[in-house]
Amino acid sequence: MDNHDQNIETRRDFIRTITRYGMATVSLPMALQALGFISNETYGAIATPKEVKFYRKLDNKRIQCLVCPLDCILNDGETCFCRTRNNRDGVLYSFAYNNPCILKLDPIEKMPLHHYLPGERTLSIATGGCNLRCLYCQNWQQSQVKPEKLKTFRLDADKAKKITITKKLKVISYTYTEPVVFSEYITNIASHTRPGIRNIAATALYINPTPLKDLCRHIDAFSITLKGFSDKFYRNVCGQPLKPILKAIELVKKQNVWFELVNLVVPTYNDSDREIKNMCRWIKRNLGKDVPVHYSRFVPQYRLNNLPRTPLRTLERARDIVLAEGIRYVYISNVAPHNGNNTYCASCKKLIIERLGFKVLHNRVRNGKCPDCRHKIPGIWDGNP
Amino acid sequence: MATPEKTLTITFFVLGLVTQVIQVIFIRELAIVFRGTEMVLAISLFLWLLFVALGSFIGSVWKWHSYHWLALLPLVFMPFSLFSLRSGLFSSFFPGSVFPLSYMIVLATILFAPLCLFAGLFFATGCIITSRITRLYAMESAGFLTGGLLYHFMLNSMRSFPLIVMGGALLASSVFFCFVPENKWWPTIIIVMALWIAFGTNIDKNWRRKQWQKSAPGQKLLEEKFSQYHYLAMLELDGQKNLYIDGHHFVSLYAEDSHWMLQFPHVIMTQHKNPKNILLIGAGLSDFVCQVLKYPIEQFDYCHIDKETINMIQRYLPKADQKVLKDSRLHIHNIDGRHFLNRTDTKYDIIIHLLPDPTTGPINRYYTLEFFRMVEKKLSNDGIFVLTLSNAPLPEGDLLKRNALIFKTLAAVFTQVKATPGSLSFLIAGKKKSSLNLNASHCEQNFLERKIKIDKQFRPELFHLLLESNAIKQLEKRLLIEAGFRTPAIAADELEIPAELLGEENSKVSRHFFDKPVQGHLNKDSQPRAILQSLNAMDSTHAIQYKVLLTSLEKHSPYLWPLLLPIFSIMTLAGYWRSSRKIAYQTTLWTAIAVAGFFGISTEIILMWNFLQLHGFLYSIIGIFTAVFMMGIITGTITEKPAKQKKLSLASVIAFMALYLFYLPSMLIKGEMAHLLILNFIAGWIVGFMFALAISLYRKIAPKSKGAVLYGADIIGAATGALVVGIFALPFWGVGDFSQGLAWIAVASLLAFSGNCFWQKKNTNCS
Repeated sequence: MDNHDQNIETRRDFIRTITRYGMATVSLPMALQALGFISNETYGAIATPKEVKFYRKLDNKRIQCLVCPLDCILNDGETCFCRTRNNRDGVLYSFAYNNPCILKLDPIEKMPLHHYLPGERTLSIATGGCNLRCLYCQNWQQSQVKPEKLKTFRLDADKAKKITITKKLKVISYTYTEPVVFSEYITNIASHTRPGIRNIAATALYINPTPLKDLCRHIDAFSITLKGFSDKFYRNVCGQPLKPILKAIELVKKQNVWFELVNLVVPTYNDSDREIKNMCRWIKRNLGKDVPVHYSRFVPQYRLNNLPRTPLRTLERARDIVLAEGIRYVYISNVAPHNGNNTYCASCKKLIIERLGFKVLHNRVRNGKCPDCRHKIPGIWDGNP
Repeated sequence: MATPEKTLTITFFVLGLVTQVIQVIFIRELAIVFRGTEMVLAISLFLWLLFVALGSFIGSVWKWHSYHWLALLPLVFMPFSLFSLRSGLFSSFFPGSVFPLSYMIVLATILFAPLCLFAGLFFATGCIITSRITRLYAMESAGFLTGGLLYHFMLNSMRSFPLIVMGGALLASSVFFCFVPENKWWPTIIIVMALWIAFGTNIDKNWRRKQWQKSAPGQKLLEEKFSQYHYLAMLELDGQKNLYIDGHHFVSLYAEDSHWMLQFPHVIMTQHKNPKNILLIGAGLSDFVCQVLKYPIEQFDYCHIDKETINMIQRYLPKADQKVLKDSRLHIHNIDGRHFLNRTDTKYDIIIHLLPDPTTGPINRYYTLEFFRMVEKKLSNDGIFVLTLSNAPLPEGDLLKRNALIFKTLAAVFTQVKATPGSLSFLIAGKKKSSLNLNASHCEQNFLERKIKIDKQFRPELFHLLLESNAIKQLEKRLLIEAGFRTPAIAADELEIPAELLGEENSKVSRHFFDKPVQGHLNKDSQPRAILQSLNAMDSTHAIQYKVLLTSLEKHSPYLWPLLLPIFSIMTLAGYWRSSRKIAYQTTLWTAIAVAGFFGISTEIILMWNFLQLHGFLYSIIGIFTAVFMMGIITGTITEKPAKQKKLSLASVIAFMALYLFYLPSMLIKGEMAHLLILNFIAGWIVGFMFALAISLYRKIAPKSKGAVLYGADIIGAATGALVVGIFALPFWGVGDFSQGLAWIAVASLLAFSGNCFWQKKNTNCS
């Protein structure tokens, strides 16, 4: 073998050796996984999964979930888009059932609900999972995770009731993550606690009409997040279309359940005058002038953490536009102190509830009316069942 | 191809110079888009070196006779690459979000490939033309050295586009001059490029505007510039001025706003009975400082390393705040906060740092055990220390793990640690036992007693909103549990009701803070584990998908060295299974050179890291470190020539490398710049000396072989080193364990080489 050939062999050999060890290095993590070094860790003690109410069986153990407009079709062993429902042997189970990851005492204003039992404290309950993918989700650590991957508490309806009695609470709220994905758990708690305890939900309302009607039978008030008013924004930033949500809001109105609307103003995304005007015209036309609307300040979160906070001027501009369009009760949240936290009588324009953020400082509402002009303030003001 | 060696060596010098300058420019540009973490730096260096190695391998295999045309490749493609990076040509991302890692790799590939492939190919060509490969290596290193110095002292404030065009033109002209001196192509190239350079500044400004239109649409660019340390850009949105530093949103300025930055100073100030001397490091010049100055304090020191950042903030501050900043009690120091703290004799009542999360080395040094100890010494007897960390209403997973690590590290130094809830958590540490009280009523009373003027932005009732007792207790519990101080929570514990009521299985929940002593890993200067946790948290938010690998590596890090050693040993011994003895010998040479490359870059990073910990800045002196390392390489290649016993010399220098690594941690204790530069020079010398020796030995057994293969091995080793050290080696093992592990790899390489030499000699004698 002459030197030239020797060199060619050498080069080939070197490339071959490098490729071999390169591949070995790349496959190392896979090998570690196969040997059990890497595992998908599961936390907590998951309570027994509960069979879901709204689904239909297809062929070969396939099923279709009917809770939200996604209508996920699942093969055996597959999990829904929301991460909480799983097909096991052709039966759809909820893993969120009795497995909350959040238990917290909160003021009702935090939902936000400003016209529903102001100043009341609630027991907030949330499980993992969500059927939206908002890029700015504040509670992404819970909402974008499967329930079984979170540190959860075993809490059935009886225990929830005991807590409300011990803590002297009148309200249980389903918030932080999306209540639609644990609706079976909600209806179970609500049927155990109502009518003594009110049940409220803070939701984006991406849900099919039948499960929504069922939910409305168990829920006393909704805080509905209408995240924007363009389909493009909804699809790009929240991962779902706008239309089913608008239909669901209209249905809640028809079901005669109290609700308030929340819009988180994300700078440069959904803050244009045009979008704000379109939204409030739709509200006026379909829901009426008395629906309270909250404009909430965005603070950098989750994947949109390199945006600045919403400028105060943008929020004030939005509030001015909506008031000018004729909506009567418009709030600014997540900024305190600010006049936009307060409730003013739509008739005499006097201050009737003074707030500092979520804290109620003075409540002058008497029997659901303005103490000065006796104008009826829309909302639920009486805590008695 | 008859090319005079003299012009060839000059061209190699130009190649080194141009690649060094353009490398820094590209990394700077990437850092703006990807918010410069060490991961950006590590991946950039890895890809850069990988493409050079690839070019070198291609050049040694593929016979190509008109290489000079390829010199136009970087010249044509580099501006296109820069444009694609700035304009987000190949991306569909959401403004305000961070690109996924995969996209960064694609963009870095587009940026680096043309120049790096050419650099590698050209080295291979040089190896064909001349037998003096060592000289080429030395000249290229001299070019690196000059480029590093040139960038440091002259070019760092210049715009990127004219610089890369100038660099590309210089390289192309030099290559054409080298290969076709009779042809008059090169003056044409220079004239054309001179025109580009003349208009380059405007083009660059235009592209930069495009970049901001893409990454922050709807915001108006008011001003942008490179300071000595950062790239600064001030944008405006609905009257709110937003400052971005290195592409990262730093602060928003707006008159009469109400937000946490205006409110939390009052929480901090009410934690101390009578604060007189305050020190603030990092952000907060606008709103935080103005609020603190409402209190009857005596001295307020504010530290921010970059004067340009301060000037820019002051230019755009609301007028009322500008007046406040003229207060005689306020002293602004343009110096690194840690450095300032080390030098000052003042005892402070409150020390605060408002810095981004510890995702990078320069920031992490403010979250370490060593820094906390330094702070503790500079605090008065009842002094308090405050830092911020990004948080969530109910933190979980990686974010909670990272925050608990910092909480635990604080608890190792201070007697009391508290945390406030919310999207941004203030960790407050007290020197004196029971000195902290986050009860809202207590704070309100303290505030009212001091008769501070109440204005639109703050009312004492806000304490109840900021310090929700239930939220504070829940956050503290989560931190204590995650930090290992307490047993896991149950539902009853979370809501503070008797466990018996809910029939909880485990009701033995401890009721006191710090039930157990501080144990396990802490965040240290030499072992920055918080960076890893922060990267994991970033991965969760940006779906970068490296978390699985990092967490598993972290989990099994104690076993990784024993795993790596056999891999390296097998590589070195691979040749023994081959039929040809020469191949076995060559394999050991390649491995020795790859280990040298790995050693070189790792040592350089460790030394720079050490400098960073003590002095707080690095990017502005990175050129000097590279230059000194390159000087070491040149000296190494020169000093190789007199060595007659080449094999013995190579074995000796590998042994020296192992010794150097064994003693490196103890040699780093002083950390003065001169000291570190000497160590850096020695590391460069080892690499240069080893490379030159290996080339000589390789030429003996394969006279017609192309040294580019060895060059490629060197670069592959360096690329791996950049990736391994930059991403996880330091957080996993710390400087000490990593150096020891690397030393054992050197020993393995030495044994393989010596064994092979002995085996070859024995076989030759037998035959």
